[in-house]
Amino acid sequence: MRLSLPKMLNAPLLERGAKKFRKNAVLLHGVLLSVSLIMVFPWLIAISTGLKAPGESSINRSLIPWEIALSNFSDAWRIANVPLLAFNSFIVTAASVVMILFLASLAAYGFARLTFVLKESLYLLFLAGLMLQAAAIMVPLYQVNVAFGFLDTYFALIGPYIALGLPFAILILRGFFEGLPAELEDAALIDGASRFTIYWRIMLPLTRPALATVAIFTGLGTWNDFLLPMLMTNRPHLRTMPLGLILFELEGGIGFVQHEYRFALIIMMTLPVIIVFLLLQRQFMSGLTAGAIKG
Amino acid sequence: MRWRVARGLRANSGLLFVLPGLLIYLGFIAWPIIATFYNSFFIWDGFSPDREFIGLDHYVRLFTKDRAFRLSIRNNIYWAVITVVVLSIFGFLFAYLLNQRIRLRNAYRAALFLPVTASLVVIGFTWEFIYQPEVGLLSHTLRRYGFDHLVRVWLADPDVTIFAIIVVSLWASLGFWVVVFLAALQAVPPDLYDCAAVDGATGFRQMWHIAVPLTMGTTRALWILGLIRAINAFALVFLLSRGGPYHASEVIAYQIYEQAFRTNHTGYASALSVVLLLISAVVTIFQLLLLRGRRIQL
Amino acid sequence: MTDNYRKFVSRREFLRLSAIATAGATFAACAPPAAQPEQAAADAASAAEADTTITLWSWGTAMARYRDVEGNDIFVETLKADTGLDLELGMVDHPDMAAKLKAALPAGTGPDLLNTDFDIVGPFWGFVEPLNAWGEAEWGSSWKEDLFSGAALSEMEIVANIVDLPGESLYLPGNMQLLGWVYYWIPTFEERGIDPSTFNTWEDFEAVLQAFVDDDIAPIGGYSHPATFVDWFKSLVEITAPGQMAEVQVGNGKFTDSGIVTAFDLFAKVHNEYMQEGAIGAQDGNAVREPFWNGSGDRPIINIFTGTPYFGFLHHESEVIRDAMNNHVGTFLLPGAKGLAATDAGVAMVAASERKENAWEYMKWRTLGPGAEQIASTGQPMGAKAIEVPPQDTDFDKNLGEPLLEAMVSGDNVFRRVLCTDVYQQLGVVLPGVTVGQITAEEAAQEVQDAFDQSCQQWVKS
Repeated sequence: MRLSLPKMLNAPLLERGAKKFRKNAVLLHGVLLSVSLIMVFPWLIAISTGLKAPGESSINRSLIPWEIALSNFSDAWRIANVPLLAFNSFIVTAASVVMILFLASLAAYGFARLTFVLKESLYLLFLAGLMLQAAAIMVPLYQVNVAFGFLDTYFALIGPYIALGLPFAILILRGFFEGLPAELEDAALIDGASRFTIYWRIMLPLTRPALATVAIFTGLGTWNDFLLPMLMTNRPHLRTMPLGLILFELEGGIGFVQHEYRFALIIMMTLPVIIVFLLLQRQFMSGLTAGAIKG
Repeated sequence: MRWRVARGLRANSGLLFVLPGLLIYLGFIAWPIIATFYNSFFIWDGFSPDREFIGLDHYVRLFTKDRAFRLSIRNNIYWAVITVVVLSIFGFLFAYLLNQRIRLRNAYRAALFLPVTASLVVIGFTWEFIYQPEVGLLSHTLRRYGFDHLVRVWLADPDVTIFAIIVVSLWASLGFWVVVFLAALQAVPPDLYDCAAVDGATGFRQMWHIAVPLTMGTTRALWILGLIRAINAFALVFLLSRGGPYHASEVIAYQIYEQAFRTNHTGYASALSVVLLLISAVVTIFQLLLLRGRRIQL
Repeated sequence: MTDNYRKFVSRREFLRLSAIATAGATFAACAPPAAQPEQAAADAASAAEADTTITLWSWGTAMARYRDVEGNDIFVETLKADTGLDLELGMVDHPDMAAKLKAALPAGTGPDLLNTDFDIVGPFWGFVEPLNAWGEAEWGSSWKEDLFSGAALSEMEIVANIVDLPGESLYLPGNMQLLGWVYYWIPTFEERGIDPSTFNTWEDFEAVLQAFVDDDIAPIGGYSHPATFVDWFKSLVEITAPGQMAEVQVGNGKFTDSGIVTAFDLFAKVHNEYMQEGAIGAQDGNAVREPFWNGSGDRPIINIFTGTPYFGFLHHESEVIRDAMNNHVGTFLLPGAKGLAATDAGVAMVAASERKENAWEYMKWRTLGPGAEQIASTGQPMGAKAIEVPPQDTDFDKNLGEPLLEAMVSGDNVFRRVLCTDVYQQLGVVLPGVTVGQITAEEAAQEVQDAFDQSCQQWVKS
């Protein structure tokens, strides 16, 4: 009995009768359902408000719109210039993620497989960056961008994103490289391949799972960040998605800032990420789980 | 001699691998942090050429006179304690429930997890809408079901605002904690539960004696992460209350923004940054001690 | 597991993606500033011709006025037709305007032109171009007196003194504003038989407000915005200690003087007793603005003054607001107060601009030329003497136009506010604190005084 069932049911349920089992399951689903409802409710509000006719949400407080106003989406799309926002967010995110993956894997390989002076001190220096979040160092980051003349360019965003993303990426990737068997390299070394060739042709392809993890973790954070774009860019044509949402009402004129438009924009901003999430659920989960740095 | 240099170069060729990343890291992180320490000793508006050296005066003012700073520290502590405690307990509990083989498991998990994928700007605007005074959904619903006495001005009541914001933060990060706990729980061999069941341990005792200790490594990592996030809390305060009313929901990072970018007290903001960095450093040292000797697995 | 990831990103894809992204970022960063992705080609083609671009930063309400009768934004088109200039408009969220200026001006990445908000631009006057030379070259030595009204001029002088350039001009005055003038919904007042012209003292006004409160109606619709708080405070000081704010600015008094302290308490009273519950924290103004403008609410008054921002909203994009402006709302000065006339927004040229000729063209057009006339035609008074608001031939003329335009030129309505940015920011913090009872009026006044002493004391000239 125990041999055939243990993976189907959890142990305590096994010990009890079927009646108790059903009661437990009802309770379990009750709890989970109500929590899920709380978690989902704000999204329902967002969707329902985004579908209401402009101005309706202040009179109609129910979740069901009186009429479905799909024109909100085209209006918000036009007012906020969504293609431009998406383009900017994509450029910044893609460039940051790619650079993080490249620089971090390079450094992690060095840390994992090569010896050089100050190796562990430098590694520790990188690890110290794990504690840093942009909010804590917004003043110096801003000053650096002033000094480099980067303000109001993509570099003012990409530079800090790379620097802030490196510690986590190096931590993950070094661990991954160290887990790979050393024999893989030996043959290539004997053939006279350079270290860089080994890293690029042999090791990097093997680290894809770790790269994907890092890409998801840093990519999501970059895509969603608004602090740096808000501080470092001013020109409208550099606006990213989250910043576009913050500044949205400025574009729509004054007086009636239409909640319905704003929530239409919110839906348009959130939906693609959710779709990507649903498609790549497993990668997402593992990416973010690694974000907690398993001990 | 040349031979020795060449050997030294080859022995240290690993440096070349680390160097590109290191340069960016030093340029954007290390150097500016040193500059922050330096700036915190000056009265400086952040852009004019003249600055006045005042030694440690900013720090003295911070710890003796600045009411807003005291409130910030208090609020950051609230934030850290509440989020870490609540998310540890409920995050673990829900993960444990979801670890059972039940129907709709993926749906529940996705529902919990969705806020994690959204930008805090989206979350902030949505909750601002919910928290509106008088006509907002929360107040409206409470009134409708006869809980008038519970209605508050959620985002402008000095006793309530910071907690209203922390609730949003809980909502936004619960899914993340659940998913991480879930991953840890799935790594616990199911046989262990079976053995415990044979020994007569059931339900809660099983969770407490097997699942909790075996996921302790993950829990500690989450605590550190939760602490770091709480110390650096900024976005939700910026979006929901701007620290008001009168500093009641202020946090250190938001104060930095106010001082540096709205009133141009860059020197003072630098001192605040230094304090924030030092607090983070203490937490991080704990983390490094935790990580020492462990290999990171995916 | 690994197979999954292999599909996810192969090394070749990784390479290709890096190349594309890096090239894209480089290209985008180096592209001409005005270029939007779909316009890049068009811009490249026109780059050979003379540079007609001009960049301007503004907060929302200062720009929402340039509209035709149907409310369509025609500002950019009209500018192009009149002067040939292409305006690139950067909108800045008002509460973050200081942050934006700081992020751009010192680094030289700012715009060519600024709409100046006097509460915020304080630390940045050093970055704008002095205009005397430009003005004299264009109009001769007495150009300022010839062109601009007294209320506008007095403020220009104070600004020049503050930055230690007495006699200079740092901006050209654009729209004028009046504080302390309340909007009210005429039909509601008529129903109740209330006649604002009978208000003689502040107490008369309070009695009317109290009558609404007794009927369970909070008569003033309020919402939370730092600028609105400060506007109310400034207006209330004109009741409790008329003119005292301007005195404080030059060192003849302090915020802790009893008259100004009383204004803190009065501010709290107005917000706690006469506005709806939670007004101090209602960050979203729609919930009160909307019912006010469309006449569907019970509250006959709204917490914004006629001067800012709805003075010139006869051509607002919202038909409801246009209708309200033309037919349903009236105004009166808070009884007992002296009104505050001031420049709502000036136009300043950024010293680091590389297109100063264009900038100057724009400034002339916007403050003295056809642009200014166009704005005046929407009901907005201007700082330029020669430009008048034409009659609208609706009830606007009698309800809003005459009283306000008369007040603009009458002796009591003069410039009397503090220009120190830190005072403005500090007021925005302490006023809610007094209102919800976290600090006393005295403590609040002291904090504001401290902010002034710390940051703007050098303004106090002996």
